[in-house]
Amino acid sequence: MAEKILEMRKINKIFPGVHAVKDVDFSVEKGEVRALIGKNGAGKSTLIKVVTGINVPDSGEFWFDSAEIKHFSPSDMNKFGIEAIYQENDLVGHFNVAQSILLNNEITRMKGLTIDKRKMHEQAAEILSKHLMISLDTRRLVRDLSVGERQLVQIAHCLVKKPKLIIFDEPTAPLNASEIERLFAIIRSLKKQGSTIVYISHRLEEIFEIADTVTIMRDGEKVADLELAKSNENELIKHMTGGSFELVAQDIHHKPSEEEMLSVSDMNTEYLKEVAFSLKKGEVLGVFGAEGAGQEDLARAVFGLKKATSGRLELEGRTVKLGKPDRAIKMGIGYVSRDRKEEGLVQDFNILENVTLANIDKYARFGFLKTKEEQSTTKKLIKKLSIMCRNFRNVVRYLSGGNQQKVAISRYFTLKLKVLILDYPTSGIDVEAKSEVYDILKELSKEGTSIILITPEYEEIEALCHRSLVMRDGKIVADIDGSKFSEDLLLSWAIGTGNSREGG
Amino acid sequence: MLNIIKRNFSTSFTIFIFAGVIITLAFISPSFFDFYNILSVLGQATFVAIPAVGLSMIMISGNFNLSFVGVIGVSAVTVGVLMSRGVPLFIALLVGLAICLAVDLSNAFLIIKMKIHPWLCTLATMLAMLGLETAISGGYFISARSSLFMDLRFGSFLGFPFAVWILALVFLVFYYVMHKRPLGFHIYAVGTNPEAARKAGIKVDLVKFIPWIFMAILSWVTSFMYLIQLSGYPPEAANISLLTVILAVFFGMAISTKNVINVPGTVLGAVFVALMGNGLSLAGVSSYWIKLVEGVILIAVIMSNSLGSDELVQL
Amino acid sequence: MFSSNKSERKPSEAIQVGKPAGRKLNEFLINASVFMGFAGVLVFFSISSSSFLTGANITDIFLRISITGPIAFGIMLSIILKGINLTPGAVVGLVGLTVTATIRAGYALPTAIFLAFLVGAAFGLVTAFAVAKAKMNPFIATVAIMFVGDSVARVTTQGGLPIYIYRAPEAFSNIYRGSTFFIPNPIFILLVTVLIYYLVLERMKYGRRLYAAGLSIKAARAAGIRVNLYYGIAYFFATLSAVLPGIIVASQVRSGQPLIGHAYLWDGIGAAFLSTIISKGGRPNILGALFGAVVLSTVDNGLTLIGVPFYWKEFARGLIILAILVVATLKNRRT
Repeated sequence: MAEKILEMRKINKIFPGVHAVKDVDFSVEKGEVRALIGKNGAGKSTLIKVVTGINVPDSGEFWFDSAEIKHFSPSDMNKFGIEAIYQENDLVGHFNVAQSILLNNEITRMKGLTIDKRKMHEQAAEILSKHLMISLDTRRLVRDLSVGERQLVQIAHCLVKKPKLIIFDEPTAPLNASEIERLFAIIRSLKKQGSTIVYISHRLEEIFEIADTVTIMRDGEKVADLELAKSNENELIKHMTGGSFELVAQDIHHKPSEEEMLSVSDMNTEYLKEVAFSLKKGEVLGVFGAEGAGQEDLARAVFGLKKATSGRLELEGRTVKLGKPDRAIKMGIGYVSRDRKEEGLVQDFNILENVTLANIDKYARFGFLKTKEEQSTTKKLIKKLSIMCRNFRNVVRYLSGGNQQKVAISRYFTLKLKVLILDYPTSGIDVEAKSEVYDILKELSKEGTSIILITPEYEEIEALCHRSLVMRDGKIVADIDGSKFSEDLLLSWAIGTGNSREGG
Repeated sequence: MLNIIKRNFSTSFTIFIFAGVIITLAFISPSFFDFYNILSVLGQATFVAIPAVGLSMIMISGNFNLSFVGVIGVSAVTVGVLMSRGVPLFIALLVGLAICLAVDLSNAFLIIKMKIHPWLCTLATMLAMLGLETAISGGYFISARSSLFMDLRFGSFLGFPFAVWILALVFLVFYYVMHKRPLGFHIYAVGTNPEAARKAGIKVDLVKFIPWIFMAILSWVTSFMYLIQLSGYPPEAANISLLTVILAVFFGMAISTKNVINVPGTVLGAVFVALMGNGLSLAGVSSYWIKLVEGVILIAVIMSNSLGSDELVQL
Repeated sequence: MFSSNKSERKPSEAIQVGKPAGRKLNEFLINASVFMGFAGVLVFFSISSSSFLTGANITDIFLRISITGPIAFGIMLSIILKGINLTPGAVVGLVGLTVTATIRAGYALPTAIFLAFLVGAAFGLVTAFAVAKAKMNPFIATVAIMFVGDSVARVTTQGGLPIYIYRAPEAFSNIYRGSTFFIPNPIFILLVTVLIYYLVLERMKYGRRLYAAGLSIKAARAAGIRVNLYYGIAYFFATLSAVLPGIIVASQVRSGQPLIGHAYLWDGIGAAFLSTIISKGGRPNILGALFGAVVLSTVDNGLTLIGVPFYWKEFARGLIILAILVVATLKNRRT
């Protein structure tokens, strides 16, 4: 019986209003490569943050390397030998590889008097070749490295302290195929050298390739620990989703008209490749996919906030010049950003100021604001969208997430809105507000506005969309009609190998 | 790719200006390259180079400091006034050092702990210090007579004047600290990516404090240099050098291949500006024009640096 | 990546309607302290100097406000955009020189004023370009441009010698000393300036967009605002706003003093930052800046009356600005 390096028993973590981790038992054996999967909100990142010391568990036991741990902090966990590699850029751009790897572990000579540059390069190169089996010119600057190479440097930096447990959080997102292979070779070598790996990812085929076992979380609970050799993709998906869903009857909303509203063709950005789709008047089009598959880029490129190297956009038959948000708005395209705080709203403006901001020309005569009109419009919208506030003078920052989102959406009600693009519109919103937002969107589409709805939640797509695209790695990989919606199907296009699974 | 061009553009642009100016000046005034002239230029350069090294380290750590011109002034006039009252030199100097430390540590506290904006905070401190300086000096030239000063000013050791030795010493010491010791790397890390530094286990706030201590010491040394070289301190003497010091730091950044602020580049920048000023004045250009040219070059150098960035700067 | 709508999420956040009470109290206390502090200062000065509360002195204070004010308003435009603009420090002096030199050369007053605006506009364009196009750090850019401006002033006056006008034309002198509708001209100009700023910033769409651009570049862009354009325009007007004060000062002292702008610059900075304290949510605003100009000008006047030498005034000014910065930073901290 192999020794357990990490043992967590009945761990609970509760945030205000959310029981994020419920009685979870999570144990990993020494030398294992354990994958951790689950939908957004399943609790994986909360759980991992307990392991890395960022979250303090509310109850439960935590044992690492046979010692019980009662104090949780990132630096403590580092000392015990737990390291994590995130996607953030944790490097200093103008440092060279050696400096980065050996940051805070620099090598000196002459009894500590000066830095021994030569030895640093030597040791850095050694770590790279021995543990990562690659050779990089250690004199190269971090900012000249590719994303994949930077990740290697981060891993190497991690290894300097000889950690016992290494957590990889979505490491392959920015990598290309050969870099992924290289990463896997590194993980295998680390495993051989005795490290234990926890690998968080949403890419199922990778998990089958690299991990030994998988833990699946759902709704804050651990639902299964499986051996990957004895399992398959469908079983994993089933555990993740809790079984198949009944198709909800789509009588909730009308059929879209036959008229074409929007057509996008040949759109390329740094990440997007040859994106093309069309949208009918009054249609609600979902865009499904894993995080970072390109949905955000698509939205921003259409609206003009992201530079498109090529692409054609036609709205009701007329060509729209890309790259200018004010143009897009004038033509009736609205964009509700994923980043509600920094981009969707001006947090320190009040409701009225936010509502009229995008179309302020309408509320000004000779430049002067028509205050009465602003106020009456805002009041109407507050009522229409049931925005909970004392009055329109409330600063948006102090509203709840759901109400903030309603304000962000409502600003486009001041236009003749033709297309509304929403990116993760209900993230972080309570249930009540969510259903209110759904009603608003249904209303809109009934009135003839087309909607592009980017969301990671299958339930939303099912409830609202006539049709859905699925994106992966910057491309549209599927265009699925509402009648064929099923969570397994969409998921398999998004993260699996694309084997369609109809219905249940 | 474009970034590499933009980066090298600023390096080559700056070197081009540097070389061009020097060569032009050498042609205009034959006495430019006279050994003693160069030595005197180096001596001049210390007034700029020493505070610039301090400012470099503060900027490397992610902050800024405008107040040094006032700190130098207050320290210089205090020492001068104490000396004229008969206080032993070494005590007067200690008081000067204490003043520099008090002000810069207060700056550091306000900026690091209270999170006041570094530009604004040190602007206000500079104003206060300049006022204080004039309060102490009454607006007069404070003379500092001492035979020791005379020796230091006119004498030389191994053929080089004291000022040049100080310049060399400051350069060597802080080059060593910033580029040959882990602390230097940590200061760079903290200034560029504090989160990364924190995750690597570096104590960010502590590391941010240290350059201010250096700054205090260097300001004090500069005030000492003024007293020696000018046998006293003219009112607000250090003021004129404010922009020159900033220019030296950015010059250093511009010629660095990594495009980072660095000690050797800063010193070189100070020397360059001193050479340019000297050459121009040998050629008969009035000092006000010289200052004007410095200002324009500073703007050009910084623009060549920031033309690479795509976003507006919010303080 | 895939959320579960099955998780029981009760409406989690307490629906906070309006600002939390504690914060509002905090704001009120700070505002109250500032006003009371100023009241205290007034009391102090009236006790310490018998001439403080005289009509003549109060007029003097207002005349000073008419210079500091527009400078503060211009700087305020920059701090709305989370930047700063120091160029008025040089422009005031340069404008004075331009006007006096033009008049001394025999040209009419309107010509002189026109040229003054030209000078201001030139500096304004350079500043706008540096910050909005070349994306320079506003502090460095404006400090450098101010320095260059000062150098120009020194160069053209052989080191800073003022330009005197011996027989100032009546019209010129009247800028400072005359009145319109029984209000002294400078104060009239101040009122008009305040009105214009108020209208543009608080009542017109341009002000709304400007504030948005300052609060969140991202959100402003997403709302279709041409942020770079607004930056350029704001910095341009910030520099240009030093022209009128420069003319008024020149009229006051009937000469062109090259470096006279500095004191007003510092007061202007203090006043502009004071407006972030006397404000709703830390937003720089015209009335707050006006109040700031009142405070700083009064303090300067009072200190002079009680005989404080200029260097101690400078010291005090530095400390006052530091204090304002500390309070403003503490007050507007988000956490």
